[in-house]
Amino acid sequence: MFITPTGLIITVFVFFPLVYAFIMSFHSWNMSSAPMYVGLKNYIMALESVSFWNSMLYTVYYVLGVLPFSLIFGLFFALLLKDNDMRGTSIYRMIYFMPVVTSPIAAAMGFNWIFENQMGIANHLIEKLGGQPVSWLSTPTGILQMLFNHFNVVLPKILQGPSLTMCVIILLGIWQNVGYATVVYLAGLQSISDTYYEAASLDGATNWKKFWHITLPLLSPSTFFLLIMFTIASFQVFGPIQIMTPAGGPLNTTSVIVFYLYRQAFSYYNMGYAMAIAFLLMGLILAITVFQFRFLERRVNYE
Amino acid sequence: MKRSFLVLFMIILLVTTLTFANVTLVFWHSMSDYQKPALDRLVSEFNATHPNIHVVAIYEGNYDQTVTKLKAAFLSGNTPDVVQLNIEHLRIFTANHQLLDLSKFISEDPSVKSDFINSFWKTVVINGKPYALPFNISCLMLFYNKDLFRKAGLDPNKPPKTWKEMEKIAKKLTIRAPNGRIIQYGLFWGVSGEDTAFYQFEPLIWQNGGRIFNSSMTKCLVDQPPAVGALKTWKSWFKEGISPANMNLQEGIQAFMMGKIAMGPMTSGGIRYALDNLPWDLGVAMLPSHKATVTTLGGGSLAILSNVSPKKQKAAWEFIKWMTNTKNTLYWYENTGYLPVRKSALNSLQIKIIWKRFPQLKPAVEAIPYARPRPVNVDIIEIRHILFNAIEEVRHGIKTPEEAFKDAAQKIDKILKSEETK
Amino acid sequence: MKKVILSLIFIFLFSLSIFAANSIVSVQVQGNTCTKKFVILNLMNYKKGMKVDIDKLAAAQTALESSGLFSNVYMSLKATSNDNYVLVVSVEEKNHISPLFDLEKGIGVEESDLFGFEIKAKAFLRCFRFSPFELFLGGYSIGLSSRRAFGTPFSFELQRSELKKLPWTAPNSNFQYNLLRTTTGMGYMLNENAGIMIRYVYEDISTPTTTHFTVNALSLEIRVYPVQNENNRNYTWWELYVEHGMNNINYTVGTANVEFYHRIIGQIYFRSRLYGVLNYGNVPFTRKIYFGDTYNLKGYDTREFGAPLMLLSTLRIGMPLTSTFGISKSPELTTYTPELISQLAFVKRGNFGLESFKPSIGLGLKINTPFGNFEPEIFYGKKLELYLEMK
Repeated sequence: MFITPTGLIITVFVFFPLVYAFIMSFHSWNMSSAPMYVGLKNYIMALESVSFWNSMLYTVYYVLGVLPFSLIFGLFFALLLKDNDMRGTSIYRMIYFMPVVTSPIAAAMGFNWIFENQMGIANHLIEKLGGQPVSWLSTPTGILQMLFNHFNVVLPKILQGPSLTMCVIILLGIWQNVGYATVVYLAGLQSISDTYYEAASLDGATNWKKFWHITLPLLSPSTFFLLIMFTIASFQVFGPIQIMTPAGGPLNTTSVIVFYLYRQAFSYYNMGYAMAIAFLLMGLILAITVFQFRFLERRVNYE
Repeated sequence: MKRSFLVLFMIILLVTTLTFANVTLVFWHSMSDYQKPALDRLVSEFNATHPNIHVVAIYEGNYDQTVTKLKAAFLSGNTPDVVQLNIEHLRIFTANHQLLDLSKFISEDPSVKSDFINSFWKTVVINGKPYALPFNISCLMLFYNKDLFRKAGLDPNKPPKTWKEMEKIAKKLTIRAPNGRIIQYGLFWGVSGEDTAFYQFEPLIWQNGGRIFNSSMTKCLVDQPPAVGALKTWKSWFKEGISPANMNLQEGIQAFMMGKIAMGPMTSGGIRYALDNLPWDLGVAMLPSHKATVTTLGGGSLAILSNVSPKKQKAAWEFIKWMTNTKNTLYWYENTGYLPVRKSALNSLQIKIIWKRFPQLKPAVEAIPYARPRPVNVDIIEIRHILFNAIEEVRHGIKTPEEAFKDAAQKIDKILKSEETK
Repeated sequence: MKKVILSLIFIFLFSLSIFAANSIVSVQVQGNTCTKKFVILNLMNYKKGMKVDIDKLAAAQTALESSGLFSNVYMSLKATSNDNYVLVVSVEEKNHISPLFDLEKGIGVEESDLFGFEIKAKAFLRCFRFSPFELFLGGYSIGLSSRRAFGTPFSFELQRSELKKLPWTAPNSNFQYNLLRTTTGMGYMLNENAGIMIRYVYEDISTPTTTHFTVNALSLEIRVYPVQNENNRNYTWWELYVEHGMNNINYTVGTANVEFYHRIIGQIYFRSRLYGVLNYGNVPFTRKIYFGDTYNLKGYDTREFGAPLMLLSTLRIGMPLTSTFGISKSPELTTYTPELISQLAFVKRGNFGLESFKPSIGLGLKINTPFGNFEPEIFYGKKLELYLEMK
């Protein structure tokens, strides 16, 4: 009885659109004329499309770029900020949390400004130091390929790595995630009882050993939580890309899956096709999350 | 203090018009930044002079975004009454009879039609019926930095007339630092990749004697020699070092504004903005020609939606007619650089006064006979993105011009074919 | 073929538009509800039978627009039967009555186009004082002026004020005084952007200390200011003012002001001002020139400096921003303008030394609201001070 209103709201605003979108993914529809049933054609088209797989690749680059660094830097800053006795701890915590509450749009515009070719701060600094200015936002070459260019080796596409432009966007992703990771890790660190460390000290453990055998395992619930959150969020990255590279980046190298979907839906009005991509993406995220729960949760130590 | 009184006055005016106005029209437009104040001025003047009609102007993002929002509005039933649509997007809505056929009003008011410049009028006529009035029409012009011309010992009043001349001048305007780095480029023929993608490249194909589609719009012709030749020439400008190779359009415009690039194609709708903001002497000229003299015609029009009531239709017609009348089209021209749309405006005293004040606005009007509308169809946005990607692949050296345009033509033909079967 | 036809039509249209040197036999004015036609004709410098000359007509339109009376001017030609033309001028009048607010004078009203004669009338009634709160009739002030009377190059100014209990704050004394002032002036506009004016001032002052004295002074003012044109990036304007006291009190005061404005890129600008003051002789306190108002050395006590010779230089760099803090692309879109300001004053008092130079630096923010400009500024000179100006 009491859940009826909530249930109704969820049905109307979540369940119904979801089902509608699912039905639409089997139709060809341009938002103006009547939808036409095409069966699995949209899904087949997506799986056969080179652009779709390229977008998938760029998305994976983004996820693999953002995830580890966000976690590592988050933990690093959390360890630094753990000390309650240090003067101004709360101010530092606030500063590190700032990027999280900054609007992604504003942050993307800020990054755009830093890495702009002509007036950007980054290039200005490079020039001041005597280097060549870099076209941060219009270089399509993968960074691994750039490395191998020195040896005149051409790598296969999948190994070329994210383009320089993508790296800038990854950097933005890391910058935005670190604050959140820091706060979660801080909470985790504060819940670890001092007795473990005291016991370890009595056993003559070094700081490194304490970190490796106590801190890290006991933080694994936080790590697991962050991993799942960041994975889901990173697969769905869109805002910064739309702002920083509205045309999809040099040679479409920043056209991640959601950006590709958006273009199909709201630039080309291939609604059915876009819905099919959305469900493919949903399936992928679901699969990865299930995988994480199945195989990684075993290694999580709950206190 | 004067202003506060004015605001109070406006509020009172607004409240009274809202309560007493018979008809309220919702008007969606795509005029941001520097064009918005001029548009708002026109709308408020219309409201002041038409006590029975009140127009509410709402900015809905760029042309592409307006299309999306309008499509969504039709689904939800929250449509505006009047909308500013890019002339290239009219077809998206006329295909489903979502725009009002203006023939009825035109037949009542025949002088309106005959006063519009013919080539502009054609852009709003689909299958013999007019669906909008041309409002902000622009053509692509060559912008150049007169100060840099002077510094290089060139005559600032003699912009290049042909591709050959342009290349020669661009070479003279390209300056290298002692360490070999290029500090000033002669030319940047940047091509946009999002809203109105491929816009700047189309005239190059036409000038080279080519076409993008056949006349029935069933086949893409960019794999033909004229288009490929244009692409080769374009690529050569980057190869020879007279154009910056690794800059996107935005960065290129930035560099142009900072005086690091001497020439580039830009829309006439930005002339006034450039004049107001650039720190150097701006020159505007017709695009240089090659085998043909031609430039691109683009821009927006004002359309009425077909689902509004007859009473509102009449008011909306009054509004769009007023917005494009001789006096207002000239006001719009002077304050933005979009071309005047009426023959009577070309012939007026006021346009000469405007030319006296802003001589750079004159070449755009002189380019009108050479301006060609862009080819359009329902899937044009996707097709242009494919073409844009093709030239980007050439710029970054992934494909040769022949390969790139051949692949693009194949993809586009596939889309065109699927359209036929729909 | 199509193109040929198009070009032909176009050439035809153009050839039509090349006017034969025919004359304008009359002018028809539309849209003026208040301003008299003859004022508009005078402003346009119209002469009967003048030829259709685009240069002159463009200048006429500029003159109408810069008169401050109209928000929009549109000109067109109508052919008459015998190859002559009627010039049709459509104007849109600005709102000409507006309320005024002045801390010293009180509240009032301004009429910028009295009876349509392009004459400005101002009237103030002073019936309260801010601190301490008290209500009393503090006098009145009325004036008439015109920059170009009836559109002619002559300007005039008439003002009469009778004000009581005006506050006077100087470093050494604080008191209230009563003032009776009459100003009459005649001027001539040399051209669109330069004018000269001669004034006669009569003042009758009574203070608590000295019972009462009168001032008779004659002054000369020269102003050169640029025509506002968005196409220009640089503006220089200067003014010079000299006043000489006669009869009972002999004194000479004067100011010179040079301003330079330069738009660097986009709307980002640089503005510099040099302001010089001379107080020579036994200057009565109401005529003495101090730093103050917009010519203030901020970050120091107001009216601390009343030296015989003073110079003030101000540099401002401003970056106009839109309401979303993007870089503004046109004056209409500007909402916030952060400014970096530096000032340096030279005050000649006693011996010449390093202490004669007074520097101060400040940060300002102009906020453009529908209710006018708010300009909070923070300055550091002798001490940190906050300023708020409203325009």
